[in-house]
Amino acid sequence: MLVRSAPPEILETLFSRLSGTGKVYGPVRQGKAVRFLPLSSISDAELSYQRTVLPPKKFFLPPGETLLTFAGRGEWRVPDEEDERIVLFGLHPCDLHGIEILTVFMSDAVPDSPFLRRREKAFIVGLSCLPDDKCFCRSMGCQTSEKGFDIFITLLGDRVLLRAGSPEGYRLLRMLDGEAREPSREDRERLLNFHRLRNESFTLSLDITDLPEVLDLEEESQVWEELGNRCFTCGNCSIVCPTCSCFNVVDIPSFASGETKRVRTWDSCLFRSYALVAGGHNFREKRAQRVKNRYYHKQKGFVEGFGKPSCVGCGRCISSCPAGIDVVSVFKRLTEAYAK
Amino acid sequence: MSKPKVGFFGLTSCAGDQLMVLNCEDELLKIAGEFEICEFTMAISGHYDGNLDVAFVEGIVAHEKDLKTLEDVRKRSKILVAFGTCAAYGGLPSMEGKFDFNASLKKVYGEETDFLKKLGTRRASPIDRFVKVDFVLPGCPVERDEFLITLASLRKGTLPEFFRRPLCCECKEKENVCLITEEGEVCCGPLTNSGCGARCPSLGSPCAGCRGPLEEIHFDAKAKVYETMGMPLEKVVEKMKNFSAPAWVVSGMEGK
Repeated sequence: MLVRSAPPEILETLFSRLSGTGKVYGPVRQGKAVRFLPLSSISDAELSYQRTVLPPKKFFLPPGETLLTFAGRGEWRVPDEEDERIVLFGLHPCDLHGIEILTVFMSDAVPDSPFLRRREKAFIVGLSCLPDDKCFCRSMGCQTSEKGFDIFITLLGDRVLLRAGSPEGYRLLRMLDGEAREPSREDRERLLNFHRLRNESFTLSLDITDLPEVLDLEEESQVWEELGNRCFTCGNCSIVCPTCSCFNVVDIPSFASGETKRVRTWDSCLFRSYALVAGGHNFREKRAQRVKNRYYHKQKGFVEGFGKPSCVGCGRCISSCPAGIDVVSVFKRLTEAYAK
Repeated sequence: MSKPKVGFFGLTSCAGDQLMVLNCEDELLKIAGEFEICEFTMAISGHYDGNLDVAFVEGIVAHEKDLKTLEDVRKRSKILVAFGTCAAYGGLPSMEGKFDFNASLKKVYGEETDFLKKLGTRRASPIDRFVKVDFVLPGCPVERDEFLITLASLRKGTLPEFFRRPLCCECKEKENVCLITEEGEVCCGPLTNSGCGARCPSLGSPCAGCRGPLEEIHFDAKAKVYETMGMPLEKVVEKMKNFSAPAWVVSGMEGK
């Protein structure tokens, strides 16, 4: 599809075009945290950010979302649909993959209509990035994205490349023709150099070629027990994971109105209550079983079901674990044990 | 349906949970309209000794009179709610669990402690050590919203189901940067009941554990984390014990 080259000032033009179509959210630095927040101008966005605390799943599967409201027998209503279009500006390739994985998952079996409705309405602008010591997206094949964006921006110093990823993105790029042009030979060289630099900058990597098979063999590995002793099962990794989508549904009655809201809350398979069933039986009673389950789901179960892991290598679980557990070392230890 | 009969009781406590009820100013008239408030230690003088549908009991058992009140309330009530962290886990008054009881008494009251014996002063304890508790509303004080949701559920003839996760979940949903990993603070978040919306960490102050320990706490993991952060383990235990010392004793964690 269409690729255009322009000076960085084009981002201002792009922003004003986008803000005419919906509310624009992008990465904003607040103290030590970077969060996707509403942007009032392009200068609010931190274009060189590393990772936000929460991934963009919060826009499609908001925590504490009201699914329906009921007052009595047979009387219930779903919340009004949000009319406003949202524009997500500045998403890194790992997050684009995260949204794609969630969309596939949420479309499967019983389609999740609130999620899919929001996804359909979102215009997504991707943004290039360089890895830090917690990024391992390249190992997951998520360092670049071929879909899941309308426009993708690659920052190349005093030039930016804008790549269309959808008919709507194509139309928008066409409107910028006055300020943008066909990429020159020099632009192409710069892009290749950028790709090289990005690929050489990874310090963390994980070979997942035979991982599902290794996991089949290492079900009883001591690694799980040790991990169970170290993990708080606090749920931080699930909350910040771009592809963790498990939720609990609770009814919250209002004393003032007499109505009850049915709300879905982010949940985690790491919690004891998650596998608790009627009669008090818990099919993942031990912490080690629950930690293991999360790892197996990402690198085995999802591969079996959907052909690829549901990990995008964004590094959020590493940076947010208060027990200092990192997924790459865990799998490396397993593969080493297997090799012995 | 007749109005449910409810009572609010204060054992030894700061009465902060009862005060929180009175602070529900917008809802007070509705509460009074939908429930028959038979007893309220802080707000109603006089005594009622009939049966109750629901008793909200705040505070700890610190002497014989507390125990008598508690046992009497239990006998008269269909549902007994441990109202606040003191009643549920021991709260701040049970902090003395960290010290020698008799030495503490002497330190505070001097050598003349006979009058305390007459009162039947005892080591402060949460109410589940003496009577069956049907429902727990933790918090110091109880969260207003959770109290009102509880009332709404009771009005429908049931009890609410609060989804208790580690506090970290609410903290991350607020997109806070972790005070443990980023600031090296002694934060009780991973061990503490959610429900406050991570109020303190959202203001930059580490969780003090005032909502009490989760049903399943993982002490060893906590210990390791703080070791790697170069913090003495006792500091963490001490902090958690400020609000829930007796709960830790029962979990077998007291010596660690």
